[in-house]
Amino acid sequence: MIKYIFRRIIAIPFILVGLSVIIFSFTLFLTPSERVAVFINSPDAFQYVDVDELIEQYGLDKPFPVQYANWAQGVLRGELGWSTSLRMPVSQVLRQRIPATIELMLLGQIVIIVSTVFLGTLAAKKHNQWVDNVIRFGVTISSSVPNFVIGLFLLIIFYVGLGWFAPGRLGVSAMDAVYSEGYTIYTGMHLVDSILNWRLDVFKDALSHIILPTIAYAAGPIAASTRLMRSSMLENMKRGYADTARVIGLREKTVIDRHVRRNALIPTVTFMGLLVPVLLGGSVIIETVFNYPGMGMFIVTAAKGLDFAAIIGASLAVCLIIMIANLAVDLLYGVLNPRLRQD
Amino acid sequence: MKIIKKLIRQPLSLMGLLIILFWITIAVFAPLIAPPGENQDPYMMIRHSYSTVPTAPSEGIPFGTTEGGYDIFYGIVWGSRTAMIVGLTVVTLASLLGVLIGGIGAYAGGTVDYVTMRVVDLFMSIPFLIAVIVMTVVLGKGLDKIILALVVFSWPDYARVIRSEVLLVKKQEYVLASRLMGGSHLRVFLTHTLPNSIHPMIVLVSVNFGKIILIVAAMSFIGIGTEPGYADWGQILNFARNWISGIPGEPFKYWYTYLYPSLAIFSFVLGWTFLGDSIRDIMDG
Amino acid sequence: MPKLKWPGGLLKVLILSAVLSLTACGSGTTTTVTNTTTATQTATQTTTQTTTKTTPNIKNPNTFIDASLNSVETMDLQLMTSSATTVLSYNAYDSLIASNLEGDLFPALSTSVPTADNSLLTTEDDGGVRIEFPVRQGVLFHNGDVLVPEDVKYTYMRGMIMDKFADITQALTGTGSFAALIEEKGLEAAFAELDNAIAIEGNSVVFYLVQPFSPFLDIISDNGAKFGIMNKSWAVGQGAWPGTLETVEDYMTLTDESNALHDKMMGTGPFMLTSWQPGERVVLERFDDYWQGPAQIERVIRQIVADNNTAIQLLKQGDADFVSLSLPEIQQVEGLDGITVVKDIPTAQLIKINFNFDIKGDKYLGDKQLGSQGTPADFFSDIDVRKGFCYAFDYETFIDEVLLGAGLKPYGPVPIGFPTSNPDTSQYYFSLDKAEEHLRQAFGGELWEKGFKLVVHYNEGSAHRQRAMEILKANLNSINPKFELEIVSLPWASYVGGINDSELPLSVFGILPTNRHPYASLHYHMHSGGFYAGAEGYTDLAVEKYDALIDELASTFDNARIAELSNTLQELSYEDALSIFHYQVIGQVAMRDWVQGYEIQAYPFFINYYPISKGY
Repeated sequence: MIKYIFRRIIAIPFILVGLSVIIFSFTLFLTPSERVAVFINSPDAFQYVDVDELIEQYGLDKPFPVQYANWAQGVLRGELGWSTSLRMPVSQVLRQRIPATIELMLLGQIVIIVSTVFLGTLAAKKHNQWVDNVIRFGVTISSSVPNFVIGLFLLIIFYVGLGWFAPGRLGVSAMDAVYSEGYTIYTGMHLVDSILNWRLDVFKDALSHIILPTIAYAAGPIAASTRLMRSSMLENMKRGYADTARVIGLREKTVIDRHVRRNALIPTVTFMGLLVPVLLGGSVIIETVFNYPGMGMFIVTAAKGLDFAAIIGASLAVCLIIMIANLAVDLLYGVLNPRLRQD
Repeated sequence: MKIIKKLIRQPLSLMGLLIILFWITIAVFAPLIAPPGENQDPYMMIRHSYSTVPTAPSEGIPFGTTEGGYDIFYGIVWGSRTAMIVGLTVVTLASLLGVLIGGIGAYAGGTVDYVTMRVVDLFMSIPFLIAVIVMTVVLGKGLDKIILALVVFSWPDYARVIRSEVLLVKKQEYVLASRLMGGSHLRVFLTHTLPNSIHPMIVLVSVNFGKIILIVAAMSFIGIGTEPGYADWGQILNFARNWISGIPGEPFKYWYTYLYPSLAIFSFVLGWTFLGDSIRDIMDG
Repeated sequence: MPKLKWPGGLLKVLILSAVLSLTACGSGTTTTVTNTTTATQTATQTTTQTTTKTTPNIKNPNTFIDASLNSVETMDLQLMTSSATTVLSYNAYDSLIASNLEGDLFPALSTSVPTADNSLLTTEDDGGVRIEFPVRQGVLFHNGDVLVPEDVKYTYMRGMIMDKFADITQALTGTGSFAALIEEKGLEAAFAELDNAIAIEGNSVVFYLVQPFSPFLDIISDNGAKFGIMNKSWAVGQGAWPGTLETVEDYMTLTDESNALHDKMMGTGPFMLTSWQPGERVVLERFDDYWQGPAQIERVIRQIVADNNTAIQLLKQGDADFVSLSLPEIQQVEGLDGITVVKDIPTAQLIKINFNFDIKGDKYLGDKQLGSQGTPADFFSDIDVRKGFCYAFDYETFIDEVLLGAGLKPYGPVPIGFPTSNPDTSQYYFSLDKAEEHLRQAFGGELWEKGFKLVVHYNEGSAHRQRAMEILKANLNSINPKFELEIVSLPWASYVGGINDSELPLSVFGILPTNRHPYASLHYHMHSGGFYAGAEGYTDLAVEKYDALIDELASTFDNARIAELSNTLQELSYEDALSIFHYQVIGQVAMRDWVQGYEIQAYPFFINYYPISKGY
């Protein structure tokens, strides 16, 4: 197990390098003018911007290997380059945007796991009763509504129809609070930071902004994981150990809560790990729909602006998050299932 | 045949089958249901005006028009074709590519296998949607470009599955036997190894078909993908994003711009979920 | 928190209890509560803070929130590239002299406007012009430094060495760029020439022009947008150009990341920059020691939104005070309680459809011959083709249907409402017969026989550009079925890149003059040194026919002569059919009804924050 994890860690830098080459090679499809076109942001900008000069400044007319080497040199110096679409260093963008996306993802995961355990257990307990059928049906339906359709309708109902929530990540006054002196940014996740700073108004505001994207984010995965949890519960309920527990006189509730559910969680936890790339991919859509300034929205902006330093930086960051999550799942798996540890 | 019988017997999969059949019918008979204008690319939505504001359903325009005077009904009918074409092309090409690369790697074993699997790892290390979005943006607008990007990043999935199957089948006695009997590598690979490994591919293909269509719709929805005006569900919904506000007093004034395309996407995916789940259950069971 | 009013309140209670009670609710609930408490607010500035804070029905009473799609490219005013961004420098800086919408000039950091009458503007014996600006005493920068003449000189020198003040460099040295001047004379001589052209004489800054340049005052009187005066000692302290010859080469070309002032501002204007979160927002705060007295509102936030739909939601909920919208979008808020809509704001933005006389590359030309497979690269160098296209465009349908009326048909290159713009200038109008007449003559009749197939473009997301091409396509096709336009969408980057590389046969791009002198638009549109002549391949034509006229127009102070030359040039632009004059933008904005003091500017999104206040 340790050897396996060690091998995985060793592989990470190779994968990152390979990935950066793949993405960087997309620039071969583009002309230098296209790559600095993001500087022309309005019809009057040609009055002020000399495109040819920009191409020279950024070395975009150089051959591909030279450009890649320049970029890689910067990375070795600890710089990820300059985001031409957001006009700031890529590393600085990532520092702001990664916590935003992770916050959304973590909250999503929490919502998913809680609903899964609740719905999955309920469905398994009431196997083939109407409750079970309702859950199964609801789950199938909700897994068929694409997240952007859910997002759109949440917008229509809650923003437009009712006006309860606002798009973005923070309201005006909460943002003032966050950027004011005396407010320490610990993690960049507003929900966590606001608690640490004990600013409940900020917490409420952040929650009111994140709640809809989280719902849109989690609806699909809840469906899939509930299905998994349910069948895994059913399987475990039939296993010998459950019967043994029942025979020695434990109450059914105890059997299910203590034993069956714990074992049934193993595949669900794996699933949650597998979900990380799915959620990160989904963040591209969800964040765009809800105007939530995280990695997903950043990648779309960067891609549309052909801002390659940003695209690569963001992709590498996403890739790294996924690999770390995968490692974490492997470790967790070992904890939950002691038998694996010996392998 | 046995599969189809089983599918018809279950209510959910039957429903899925019916929904899919419904959309296939619409796609096939699109020219009759929503006849295109003369000298017009049928895949470009018919437009009734150049107006920027959507117009409500009326005589001859059953679903109304969306921004730009595009006929929503026409877009949904022909959009079903677009969806089918993308789904079929991508799944076919990607699975062929995956089967070839993964299968050959596994069959050859050793360094070839190692290298192919590292390449597969590399391609799978980045979220699919992000990779496809970046590549599509770089290549430019158009269905062919999305298809290319989707194929480039979806074959590794198939390669990995086929590889594990081939590794199993390769050791089976009949394969070894036919090799000993002097069959060429190619012959053995094509006649014995592959056909016996293809089983899980069917499950994967059936699940991915719906997934691919969903991804194309999602991309069009955020404005990356087909050319403006192309009959494509995601794009019709993208147009609707500007109109979810309605006007004062009538918050849902432009309901037709988002309701119809949402229903189309939803029902299609629903059908495919029912069907895909059932196929998986049957194959696994 | 306002009372819940909606039916279905139960659902709301359920959801609310699930997510804690949120304060963010209450959209459109600006019901008619008493609005008398703010009567005193507009009277004086400093004493009203306490009153406004207690006003219950005004959200963020001391902050003006401007929701905008336009993100900000830099805080360095000399490197700003869009008028949407110069709103910030406009409010944070002051220029030597100020101007209003009518083009009248006023003293600002200079205590008087130089004219021949007050002998601050004099013609020298050698034909040069001396312009003196007496610098105002006691003006403070945001950090408390006092404005000195050296600041003025530094500001102009910095702009010129970076080649961002091309017109000024031209006026002072006779060469339009510092880089070219270096090539001509060597670094030292070039620098000396600039250095000598701006002199500090006592408490005045004096510019020595090599020859008369009449737009000079109009150009620099931009209220600080690009020609705001910077604080030299502060800038040098931040790591900007130290102002010396030895260092000049290192500071001539700056990228954003190498620019020490990329995210900073230090002016004398009524507002100072307090924070910038790129892609999210910019916060400005009132500068209490502003030399004309402090502004009304304490704080201004420029909130960046990704789409106008978000902006509309913010406005409806009172989380934004001001939004600039297109006409169809305006309908979504017009008539709502608590929202004021201002429509029919004429703007200075003139949109043209440009003919590329010399199409580079072969991406869009097919077989490069007349016929059903392509178009020759010099397609638009034939004047009858251009005239035919000008007549084939249906101006009215476009303005009525696509813009819903929010556009004007331009007279010519000088925007309507600007000096010398002339309704009597000959104009093209929609006429298929006229178009046919010209297209029959094009290429000696060959075009009519063989037809053409031309790929034309619009950038994705721009419904306007798309519709314009579609209208043109349909009309040309109806004249002769052999005339085929193939419309292709390009990402913004490829569209702009294609224009810069002269690859696009037709492009829809505009003129947005930054001052009211006709020189601005005529130079940009027609001069060989302007952008369009080079990018659209009519440099030779410009050198031959327009340059001398434009140069003369720039070098005379005689308004009658300026008008005469301007009219001649506009007429020439018509005769040579340089481009289709597509439309002039009419803008519209929506704001909360508590916003007071909005002044209409040449662009609707351009706001002077100084007189803005919130109250009833």
